[in-house]
Amino acid sequence: MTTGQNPLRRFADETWPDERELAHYNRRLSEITNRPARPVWSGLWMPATAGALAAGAALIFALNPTSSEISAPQTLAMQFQPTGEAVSSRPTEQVSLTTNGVATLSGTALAPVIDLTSGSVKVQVEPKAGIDLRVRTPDGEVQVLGTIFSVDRGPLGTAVQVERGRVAVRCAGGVEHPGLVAGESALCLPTTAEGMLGRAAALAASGAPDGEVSAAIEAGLALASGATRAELLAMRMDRALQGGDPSVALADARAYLESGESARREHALRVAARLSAAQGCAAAAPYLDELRALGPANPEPELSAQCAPR
Amino acid sequence: MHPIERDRALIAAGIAGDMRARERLLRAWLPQVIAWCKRLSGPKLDPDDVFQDVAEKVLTRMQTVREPDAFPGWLFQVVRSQANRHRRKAWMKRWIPGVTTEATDHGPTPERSTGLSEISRQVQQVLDELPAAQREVLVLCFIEERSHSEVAELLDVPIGTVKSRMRLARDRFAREAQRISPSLGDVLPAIPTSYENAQGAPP
Repeated sequence: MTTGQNPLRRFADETWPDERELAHYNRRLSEITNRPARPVWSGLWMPATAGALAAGAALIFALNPTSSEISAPQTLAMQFQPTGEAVSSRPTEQVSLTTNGVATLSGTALAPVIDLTSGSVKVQVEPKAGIDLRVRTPDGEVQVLGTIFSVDRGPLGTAVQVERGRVAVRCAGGVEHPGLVAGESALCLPTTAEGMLGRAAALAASGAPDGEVSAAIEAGLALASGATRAELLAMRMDRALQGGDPSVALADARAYLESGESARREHALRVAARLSAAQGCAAAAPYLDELRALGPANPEPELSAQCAPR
Repeated sequence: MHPIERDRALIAAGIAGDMRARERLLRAWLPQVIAWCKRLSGPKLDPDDVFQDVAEKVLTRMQTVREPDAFPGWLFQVVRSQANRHRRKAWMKRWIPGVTTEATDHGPTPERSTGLSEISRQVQQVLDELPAAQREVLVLCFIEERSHSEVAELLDVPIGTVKSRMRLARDRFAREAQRISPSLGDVLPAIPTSYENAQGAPP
């Protein structure tokens, strides 16, 4: 052991274990690895009566903020519902949540799991405390690598923003962001047809570029069937009309009508009738006939006058 | 060879859940773990107690390490959090009547007291007065003489934070040393000078 003049250097030398200490700690490690896991407090009150044990344990758990770390894993079970404003909670000493939406908390104090159905949750985890916290949404999963981040599930998908530390994000679609750091964000796109329909509608409502809306519609159509597919077709039909692409609009109107869905059938009939009329009254006639059959009010007077009933 | 390179396969096996690998890894890193336990625990705690909890954490929680390169930082954080936990428990034991969370006597054991010279005990006493964040950076930067980037990785904070904590720790250490042990304070000005010569002055 060297004994330099600098007291910090000397402290460093003297706190580095010598062979005797290493042998001692190697024995301690063997003891730890050779005995079964047990709660730390279990052996401390053995001579006491059962009543004293209960009282002592209650006192320890009431006053010791870290008791969850050293006892059996604490099981978590909480439900959150939207209340119109953010709700803060602290399910464990190491985890703080601010929720505004529909979510459930499960798992254990060491491995909490938050299932976020809608809305947002902001999570603060004590860094490097060994907490394996995950936030799951239908669009993906966020794993804490420490420390403050927020997850917001809305129509556009699941957005993750990191304020401090690192998180890993695995989107259900396969995209991974293994190490998002402070200031970075990631978006997990919906992976269901319904989710993509919602995203497309939200993008359109927010005035997003056509390309983004179209991409969402096409992604949804690739997955969709039934009413969702019909709704996506109707959406693409309207956008094609606005964009001056009648052939696409007509094809989508026809596809919608073939789906048998009724929610936007009248609208699709009008579009199909108007666009088909360019090819002659015979092409428009089936759509006009069905429009007339839907009700007494004639929705397309000019076209009806031009193409009288058969 | 850097320990992380030497132990990469062991670390990967430990992360995957191999308990034997975790034990072998702990034995390989034992000197460093013990040194951290002793340096961060302070004079009022028994590093033996801290070590036991650190070992249990490593053996049961290593699957949470995200990659082998992150192991040293994770290990340091485990030691740090367990040392801080024992500090809190010791504080409660002193201030809340009737709270007895451990059967262990936290008074100085012969093993510890015989291991440190008087001057080192004074350093330990001054370190004990520092806030945890300053104590950690002082131990890593000044006592273990690690680089800024290495300390930033171990603490999982930006390098700028390391530098600012270093400045605060240095000032606080000098003040506490003057108060607790004036003779120790007399030799302290040598620390920043030698540190800056070796690694470059903080801005």
